[in-house]
Formats: sequence, C-alpha cells, structure tokens
Amino acid sequence: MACEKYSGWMTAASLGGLPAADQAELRAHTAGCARCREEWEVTASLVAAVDRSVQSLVEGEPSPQFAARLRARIAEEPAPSAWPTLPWPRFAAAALVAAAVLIIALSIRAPHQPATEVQPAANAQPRAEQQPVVTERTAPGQPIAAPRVAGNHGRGDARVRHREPSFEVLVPKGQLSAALLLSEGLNEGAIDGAQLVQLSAHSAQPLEVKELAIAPLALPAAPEEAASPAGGDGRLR
Amino acid sequence: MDALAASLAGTAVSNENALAREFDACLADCPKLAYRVALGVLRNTAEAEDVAQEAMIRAYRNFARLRDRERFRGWIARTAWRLALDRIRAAGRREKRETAALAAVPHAEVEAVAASREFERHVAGAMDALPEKLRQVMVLAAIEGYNTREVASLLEIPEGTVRSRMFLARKQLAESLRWLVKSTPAG
Repeated sequence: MACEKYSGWMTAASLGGLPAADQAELRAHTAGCARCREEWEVTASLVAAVDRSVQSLVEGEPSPQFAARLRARIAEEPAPSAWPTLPWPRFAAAALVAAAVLIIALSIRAPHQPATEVQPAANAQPRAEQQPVVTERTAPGQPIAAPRVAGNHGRGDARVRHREPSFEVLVPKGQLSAALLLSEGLNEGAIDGAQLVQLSAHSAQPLEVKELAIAPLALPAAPEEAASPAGGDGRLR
Repeated sequence: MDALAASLAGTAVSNENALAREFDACLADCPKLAYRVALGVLRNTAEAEDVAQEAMIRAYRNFARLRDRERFRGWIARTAWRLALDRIRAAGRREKRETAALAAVPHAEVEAVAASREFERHVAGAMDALPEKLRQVMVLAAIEGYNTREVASLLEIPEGTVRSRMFLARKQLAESLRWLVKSTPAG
C-alpha cells in the first residue's frame, strides 16, 4: 500500500517537482525498499531518455539547397513595404470612427445660416430650431436690429455685432432676463412679432417737438388782510 | 512638386533597401529556427523546409513591423509552429494511422528501449498527444537547449508559465511512456 503511494510520486520526484518534505519521505522509503528504489531509478532514466528523444526530434539542419531556394523565393517577392500593413478590418473600423468624429466636430463648429433681414411674418412664426431670438433695443432714430441668436450675454454694451453669418444680439447689462422672456414669448407665439416690429418702427420715427407756448401766470387778486397779515404797512411785527 | 515627389520616392526606395538589408541579416539564423520548430511538429525534413520557407516569406512581407530582432525570432517560431500544425491537420488521418501502428515494447531495459527507433516513435506519438501549449514549450526548449527565459521571450509569456508547462509536459510524457520500461510492477 505504501509502495503504491510512493509510485505515484516517482515522476514528479524525478522532475524535481515534489515538495521537499515529500521528497525526503520518498528518499527514506526507497532507502529501505528495493522495489521502489529500482522503480525510481527506472523513472529517472525514462525522464532523461524522453528529454533526449525530444531533443533528437528537433535536431538537424536544413539541406544545403534550402538557403539558395529561400533566397530565390525572396528575390521573387516585391521589396518589403516601409510601412507596416494594417489589418483591413481594424483599419476600416478606425477610419469609420475617425470619420464619425470629424463629422460631429464639423457639425458642432459649422456656422448657422447667414443672418437675413427678418420679415414681420417670419418673426411671428419663428423656426423651431432657431436659438432664442431677441430684438435689440436701439437708440432712437436707428432701425431695429435684425433678430439674432442670443450670445455673449452679460456684455455691457448694446452694440449689434454683425458677425456673419451667426445670429447674435447683445443686450444691455441687466436686461438679459427680459430679453430671454421676450424671445421665449416670440418662440411660443405668445407675443406677436409682426406687431412688435411695427410698433418698433413707429417708435423709431423722430418725435414731433412742438414749441411750448407758455402764457403768463395770472394770479388772482388777493384780499387786503391776506396781503398784509401783520398790518397795513406790510412789515412783520 | 516633381522634385518633392522624386525626393519622397527616393526616401521610400532607400527605406525599402534598408529593410531588405536588415532582413538579410536575419537570414543568418532564423531559417534554422523555423526549420527546427517545424521539424519538431512534422518530423519530416522536406515538409519542415517547406514550412520554414513559407514562414520566412511571410516574415519578409511583414518585416516593417518585425524589425526588433527578438520580436522577429519569436514571430518566426510561432508562425512556423502554426504553419506546421496546419500541415498536420491537413494530413490528420494519415498521421493517426501511423501512430496506431506503433508496437509496444514491454518489459525491456530503459537504455535498450531508449536507444531503439521505436522509442523515438513512441515519444513522437506521446508528444502529439500533449495539449498544444505543453507541446510548444517542449519543442522550443528542446531546440538548441533554450532555457525557460528564452522560451518565454519567444512565446511572449511569463517565465513561470513556461516552467509549469515544461513540468506538466515532461510528467505527462514520462507517465504515458512508463509502460514501455516498467519491468517490475510496484508492490
């Protein structure tokens, strides 16, 4: 029974793969068991013979003609490309990804349609995809600015920036909320844009300034006692 | 523009010439490595030469990305291995017949058995029966006595993995061939 157990250890022991404690136990057993000692020796010889045999399987040189044949075959080949060849499916996938990224980047950076004069009717029904539109409050006497996409909010000037072809309106500082409310109202149709533009056009006309005719102030006649409350000489007492 | 094109073309030609020269240097030892790997699988010199030549041609075509010498040797060894296995698979039935025809040589002395041609054929059969990963490290370790570090470098795997595969491969080989030399059963 003990010999069967140690028989199972023989190969691993011959390969040096047995734990040190087991190796010592096996050594102690084989010292007193002739059969197991012989089996261990046979196993060690077999392992060595197998190693030699495996080496003999790969021993040998190619024939003397091999080098010449190989060089002749290589000579038939075109010169090796200086650039590594990419596996086609991976290259195609990489190209598709790059193209998609490029398209997305361009679409984000692409300018909107050029700014055009907005007709009242167009203002009444703004396009859905258009950014909030605000009308610029201009100085009296100047025409109302064309609606532009809001941008640069919070800037302290009221200049209309005609940066073609983007839509942009700069609102006076502190009036951003009002401008956005107006824009929202226009977009939702709550505010009639056409009417607003007409009103703005009217307000842009110079006001008629009439000369003031100031009549002399007519004072009512005061009673005697009211005119000189302290006495008849008009002096205070 | 023409001058630029000519310059680029000249650069490409000079790069290609440099590649061809580098590859020429690899022809010193790599064909032998490819041949021995193929021989370890095929055990046929003519077929091993065919496989080694094919591996070298493929290496030549892809040499631009194989210029590192160590990577090149590993690539050659693995490619020769795969090509040889493909040949084995193509001729699978014939190979099985030859293995089945091997005769057992029981109750013989180890040295006498090991010296025989039959023993080599049995070892070859046992090698074929090994899992591919175990067989690969056995063949590479047998070539020019590569140590575990060199085999690990060729296969691009950790040294510990090579050691454990080597142990398992040798153990399986010895145990599968044990019956050839077992003169007395364990009691």
